[in-house]
Amino acid sequence: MITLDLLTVCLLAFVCIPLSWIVPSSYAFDVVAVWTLLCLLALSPATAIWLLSIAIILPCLLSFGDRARGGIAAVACIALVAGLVGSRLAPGWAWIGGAFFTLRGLHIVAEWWMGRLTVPGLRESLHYFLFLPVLAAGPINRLPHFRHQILRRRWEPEMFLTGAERVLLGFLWLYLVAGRGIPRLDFKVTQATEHLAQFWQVWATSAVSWVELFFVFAGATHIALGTSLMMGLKLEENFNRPWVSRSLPEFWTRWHISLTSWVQDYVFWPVSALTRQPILALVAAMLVIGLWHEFSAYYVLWSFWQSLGIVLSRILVHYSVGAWLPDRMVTVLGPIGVLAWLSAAQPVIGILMGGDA
Amino acid sequence: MTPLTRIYARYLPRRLVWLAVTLTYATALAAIVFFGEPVGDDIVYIDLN
Repeated sequence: MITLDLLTVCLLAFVCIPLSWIVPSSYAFDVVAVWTLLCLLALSPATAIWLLSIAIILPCLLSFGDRARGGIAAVACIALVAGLVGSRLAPGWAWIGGAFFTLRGLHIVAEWWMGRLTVPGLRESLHYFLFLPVLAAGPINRLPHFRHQILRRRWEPEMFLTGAERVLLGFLWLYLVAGRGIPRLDFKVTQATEHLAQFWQVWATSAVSWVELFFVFAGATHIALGTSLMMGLKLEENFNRPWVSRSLPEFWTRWHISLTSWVQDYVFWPVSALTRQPILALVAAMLVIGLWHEFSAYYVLWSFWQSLGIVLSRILVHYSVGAWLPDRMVTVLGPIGVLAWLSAAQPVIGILMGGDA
Repeated sequence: MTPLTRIYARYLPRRLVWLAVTLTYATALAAIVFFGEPVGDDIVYIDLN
């Protein structure tokens, strides 16, 4: 197992900021890629070797593939997925950011196979894959957007300072809200619910965990996107105020947007088009999201739970259940209902897996 | 203008905005350094821990 503090990766990523501005612009991202590779070699040589292999082999493989496009795309996808599965299953072989860079690779293969993306050059591929700020915590940025941002990149003091503000906000969320505030909230919630049955205790602490997860993950995203902004690149957003969502489907369009949009583009729509079964496509999409987090029975059941929530939410809308509620009440009750459903997954799955809750 | 500058510019005279922004940065940094705590082990960064 690799044990790494996110702070280490963040501090190493900050080195990319001066590097990207000191070096002449035509070589700036070559130097960033070299720095990323050196950091990875020091932190996790296995990650460095695999990521470098993807960045070099993928464009070469795709550039040979105009005649047997389908076969080459299939081989590339199998190799990428097998790499991720292998890293998850083999003890001591975990990769830093493997879940993120595997989806980036699959995105390139899928877009190329559909004829919507030209094969990236070797340098471009190295720039895209070996970009330290987004390696550990995402977002799963797309190549065309990254390409565009590099082309339009120029020094803008306002952009630089906005990035610095986002980095500061990210650290505040990570180290003050999630690190200091949430454990105290968790303690209070545990105290307040200790007289209740275990099911309710687990439900309440699970709700606190979701809030903690938000501040940790959104904080890490602020740092990643802020660092990129300080380098002159405006990458895709990952969160859009998820806790104002009035329903579960809306929540999944606001939470970890780069992952949910990836799954929508490359799992939900293709499965939906092939089977004409939107519910099957939904389950497949949620299953990919679940297994992307962790290969475990818990996450398989978690996927079914989230799918069930989305289907029930659609049924409520279809039959206009609650349509009589005033809009302001829905604005308040909606997010509470969403958090209740999300956090209920843990006690419900606990029971299904044979535990107490 | 940065997001923070935009917020302060709405409520403060122009000449005080930079001071308010600087003080906010300084307070935030001090709060992180003196009161910040690392996130607990129960939160798993995907493929990092």
